[in-house]
Amino acid sequence: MKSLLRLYPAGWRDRYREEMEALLDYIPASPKVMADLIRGALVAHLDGEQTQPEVVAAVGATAGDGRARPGHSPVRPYRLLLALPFLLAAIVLLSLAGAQTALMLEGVERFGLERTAIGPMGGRALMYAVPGVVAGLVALFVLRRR
Amino acid sequence: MEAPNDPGTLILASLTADTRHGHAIMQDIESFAGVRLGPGTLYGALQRLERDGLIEAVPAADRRQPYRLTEAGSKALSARLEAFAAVIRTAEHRLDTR
Repeated sequence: MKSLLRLYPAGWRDRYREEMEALLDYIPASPKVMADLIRGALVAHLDGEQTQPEVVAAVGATAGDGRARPGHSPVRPYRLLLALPFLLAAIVLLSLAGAQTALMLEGVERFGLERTAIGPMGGRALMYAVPGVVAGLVALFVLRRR
Repeated sequence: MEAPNDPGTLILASLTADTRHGHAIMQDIESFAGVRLGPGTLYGALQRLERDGLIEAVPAADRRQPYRLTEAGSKALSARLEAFAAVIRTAEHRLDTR
């Protein structure tokens, strides 16, 4: 479950990872907790744009426990802009792949589509799915890069 | 106006009594509000409150980082409670006059 913390922005992990890991030691893993962590990571990425780094840095500096308390370094707007086309491409391509698969399955079920027709349709679904996944990974990489 | 079960409001309410770390805040909120915050929700709210200067981290002996309410946090909580109280007063008044 702690591996999900890798989804959070780098600045966030610098600041909160240690204490979140300590918290997760007390919480049993469950799909609900995992979904909450994933949602939290998404919000952290989106919210980073609104974060005022200088305020957070100042708050971090007042921790006064002798440990380094780096401020939250937000996702820069240019990074969001850069990631946006990849995100959109991923959504469109994966939707097309899903639609293609649904059509194929419906064809098999309702019209007894022959095996010869399944190959090309499945190939088309893959043709959308693979670049869709790649685009999604690129978007995540852009967002998570320091 | 924030909702009474808004995570930020619940955290501010929890920290009025004492300094607490994440897990203690989570347990306290569950005990007084019956709401179990997930870790992502809890730390999202803690980050926003800290960013806005409503809470601050205090020295910690271990990995568990305690937080305390700041003066601004006390004022923000008072303002939220006053807004809730106004809603309750209005609702009670309307119930009484039915």
